[in-house]
Amino acid sequence: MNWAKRAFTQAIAKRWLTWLDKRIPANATHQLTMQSIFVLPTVFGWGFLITAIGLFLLGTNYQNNLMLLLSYTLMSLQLLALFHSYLNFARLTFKVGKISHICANEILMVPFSVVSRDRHAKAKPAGLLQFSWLIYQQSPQQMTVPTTTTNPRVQNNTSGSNQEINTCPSVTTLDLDKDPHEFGVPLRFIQRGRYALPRLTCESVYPLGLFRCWTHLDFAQHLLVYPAPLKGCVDTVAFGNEYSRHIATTGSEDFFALNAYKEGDPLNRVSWKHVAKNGQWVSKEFSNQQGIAQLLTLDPTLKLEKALSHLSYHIYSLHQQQQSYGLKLANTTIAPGNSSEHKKQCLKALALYPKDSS
Amino acid sequence: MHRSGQQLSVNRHRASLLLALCFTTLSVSLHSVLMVWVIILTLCALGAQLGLYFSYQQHAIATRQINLLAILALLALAWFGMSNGLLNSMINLLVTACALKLLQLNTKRDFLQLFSACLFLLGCGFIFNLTVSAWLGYMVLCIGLLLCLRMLFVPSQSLFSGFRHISVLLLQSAPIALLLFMVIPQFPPLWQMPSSKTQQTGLAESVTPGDIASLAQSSALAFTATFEDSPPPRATRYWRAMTMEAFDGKTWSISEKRRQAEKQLHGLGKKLPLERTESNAYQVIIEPTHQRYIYGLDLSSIAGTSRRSARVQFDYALRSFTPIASKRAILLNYHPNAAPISPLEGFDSQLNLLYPENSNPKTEAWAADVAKKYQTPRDVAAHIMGYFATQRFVYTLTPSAMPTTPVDIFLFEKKAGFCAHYASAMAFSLRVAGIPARLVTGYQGGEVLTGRALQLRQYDAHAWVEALIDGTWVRYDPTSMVAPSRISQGLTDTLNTLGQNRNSNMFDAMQKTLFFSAIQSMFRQLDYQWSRWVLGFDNQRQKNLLTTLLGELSSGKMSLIFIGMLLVIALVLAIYFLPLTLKAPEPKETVIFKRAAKLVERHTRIARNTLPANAYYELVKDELPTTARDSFQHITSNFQLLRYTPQASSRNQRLDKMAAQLKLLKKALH
Repeated sequence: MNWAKRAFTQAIAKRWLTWLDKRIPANATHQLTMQSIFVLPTVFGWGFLITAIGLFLLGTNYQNNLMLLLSYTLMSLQLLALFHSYLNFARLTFKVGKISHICANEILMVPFSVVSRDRHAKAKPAGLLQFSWLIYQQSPQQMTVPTTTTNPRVQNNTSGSNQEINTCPSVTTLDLDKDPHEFGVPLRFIQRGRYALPRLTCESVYPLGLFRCWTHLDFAQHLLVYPAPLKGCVDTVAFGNEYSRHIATTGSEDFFALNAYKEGDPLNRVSWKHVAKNGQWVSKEFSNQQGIAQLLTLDPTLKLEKALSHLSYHIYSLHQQQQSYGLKLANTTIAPGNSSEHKKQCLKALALYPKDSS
Repeated sequence: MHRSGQQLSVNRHRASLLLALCFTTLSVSLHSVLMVWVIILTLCALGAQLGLYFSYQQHAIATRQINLLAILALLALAWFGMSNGLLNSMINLLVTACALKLLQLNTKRDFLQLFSACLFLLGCGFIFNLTVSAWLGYMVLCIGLLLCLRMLFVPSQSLFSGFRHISVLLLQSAPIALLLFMVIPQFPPLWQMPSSKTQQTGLAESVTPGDIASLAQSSALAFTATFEDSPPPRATRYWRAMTMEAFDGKTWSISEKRRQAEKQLHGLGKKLPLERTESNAYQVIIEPTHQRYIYGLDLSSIAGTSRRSARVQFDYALRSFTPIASKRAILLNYHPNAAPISPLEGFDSQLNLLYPENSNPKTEAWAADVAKKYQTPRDVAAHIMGYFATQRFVYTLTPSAMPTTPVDIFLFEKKAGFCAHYASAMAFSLRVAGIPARLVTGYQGGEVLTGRALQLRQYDAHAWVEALIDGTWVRYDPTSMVAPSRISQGLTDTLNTLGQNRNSNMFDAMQKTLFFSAIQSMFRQLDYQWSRWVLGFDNQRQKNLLTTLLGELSSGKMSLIFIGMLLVIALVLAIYFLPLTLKAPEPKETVIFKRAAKLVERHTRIARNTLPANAYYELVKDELPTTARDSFQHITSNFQLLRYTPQASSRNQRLDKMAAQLKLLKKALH
């Protein structure tokens, strides 16, 4: 039963998204039009109508023309509010800013700017805009929209790795009359990978909260999500000698990682605490390496995602220390370097590394 | 940027404060219905909101305290509800609930609920106040309420711009609302609504001539009558309200037997023969009396749609089915030539011959004497009328009190009084003389407002006598024997000639000045037109209006009218909004570039889609012949310059050059 329900919702969501793709095609800028705006009364709008109908009944029963007039005025006011609401919303144009790549679990403020359609027009768009992400889970097992969660952090921990994207606060509000028209909408990804920016839902209940105008905009943006940096050990190989699984030189200034003790490691590097604790011989590695550049590589003893996270951590910290490093993953080898471009290249390789099939 | 929530910020929230103010004003305007403690509760809630706004207080009151208050309020409402009547209790309940909501105004949801309840209360206000000024006041409150709503959803705009926007919205909605008002049919009441229990005003249901007069003091409006043709002459304008057939020696009142008979006859479905005679249609707009009687010119029948809400009684008085709690318009037919035939002669004469023996012994002896002297009832009546004319009776509004044997004292000692004294004495004498007679109360005369409209005020109240002679009720007005000008000119003139004043109002002298009377008549006119056109606009009037505008109405035509109404609304909306949706014309450089791009597109078959101008140029330049490429390059670069640096110099020259290049391009690609 549950399974059927999920399959059904999934099918609906898929059709809905396909229909949206046709109706509101992806573009870096969106001028809102009849094509892209949806309008329906809010709950309060229905309540307002019911109040007007109640006044009509009361006016009819008391044969009271003033009450009838009030009721008709409220009804026509509602009709006019529909147009005012729509016109205000249709004056908006959205542009997406430059999106930087981020690590998993980091909050990305996706930059947008909103401008009035005619900069010289007398009537400027006004009121509050609310933004949220239109997210259906990529995984077939989970087709939920987490935009309504009040505390996404809690949910992240419990829902495991199936959930790939999450929004951080669910709704962001922009006051067009007060706030700058450049703004960020927070977004967070749980897993590394390459993602298309989800559709941005933008809504407004201007002017009286009677009607909700909304739209779902696809800005045709993609972004890379790097593995979340996680402090831990990695394997290294010396550049040029890919068979030697050994650290050539390690300085003694900065503690960098713990490696399994290998024969020939100097005794002053052995972490005696570990030996005393559980008899495990590990040697400390320090990060002030000089001389031969090293290639970082996956620690095969760890789970893939964890190993990638360790790599990510090392890339960030080596880059910060302005040391040169390289990366070796399955078939790709990135020669050592330490420029920003180099860092991005390495992280991209991590982000796109094929997922563990097991 | 801030994170949204459903929580309202408690302190310094302008919208909440304005809503509190609107709500308080609204409840004060309903003070006639509300219990004092409910108003006090409302004021407390306003105080709490003020405290929050000016930060004397940091937090809204806790829910537990509110719940306690709510229980207390409910108990109080239930306790007082019994004596208050259903409608008043309901309004009290709604106001109390709103006040409690205002005390714990925390979320957007609370705010919106309170707003809706206030709108509903505003509508309820119209049950009790129907004047022009009340309507204006309530419209201001309506603007205030909508302004609160806008401040909630558009928080950062100034109060003034919000006010301007709301005014524009209301002005725009006015024509649509008026159209709906005129075209949507006025339905009869769908179900019986509870009516308000308020102090009754107007004529009393009993007359005790020995008491001191009080009605004649008031110049308050009683009703307005508007005739289709000219109104009948003043001397015949007797407006019947009640017939009083029970007399206990001092007091005349409506007979219980009459009430029972009315019920039975009505149940039998009997009808008076009025409808067959010639008639003159008119409308009366009655000021609220909270009683059921309707003033009709003698003799009148109910006309048109008013038949659903009122009927003619078998004593020719008119009765509404429900108390007149607010200004009400009623359509009537005046039958000037109809004779008031007694529909049940036996019952009528039996009822109207009863009198308490030895209550006024002198009069009884005198009347018996008169009856012996004259043969016909008409002669007896004429003698009694003549007695008033010849025995130096005086018309006065301030007669002395006559607590015992009032008729005797009036007829033979004081010989001074007003209409009720004369009518009472005559009706009593006639009864003693064996002629069935009764007292009729109502109004007489009326001031002409316009050519066809009359206004009757409380001081026009009058009483006269009806005697049943040969199966027909004959009207006798003994007052006319003493003060003929009371009938021919009205009370005020009569008193002036008699050297008496209607009242000792200090504004009296002021009211006589030209300026004040001009303003007064202007307000009377305004009030009259308001009552006639807005309050009195009913189904009949609506039909008449549509018929005059569109000719005879058939059911097919009615549906056309509805479609027409929708079209007119669409047209109104188009007038409002179409100019706004039309796009501003594109700048000239864009037009030229787009034309050029289209030419290039057609030639090269490379679609531009959404490519930027220079990117498109780079894409197609190798496909174009040299001359065309140069022209297109020139157009592209100038377009970009003009488009993205609007302050670029020599704009017009560049545009001219672009146009020239476009021509070249056209030539080259052909």
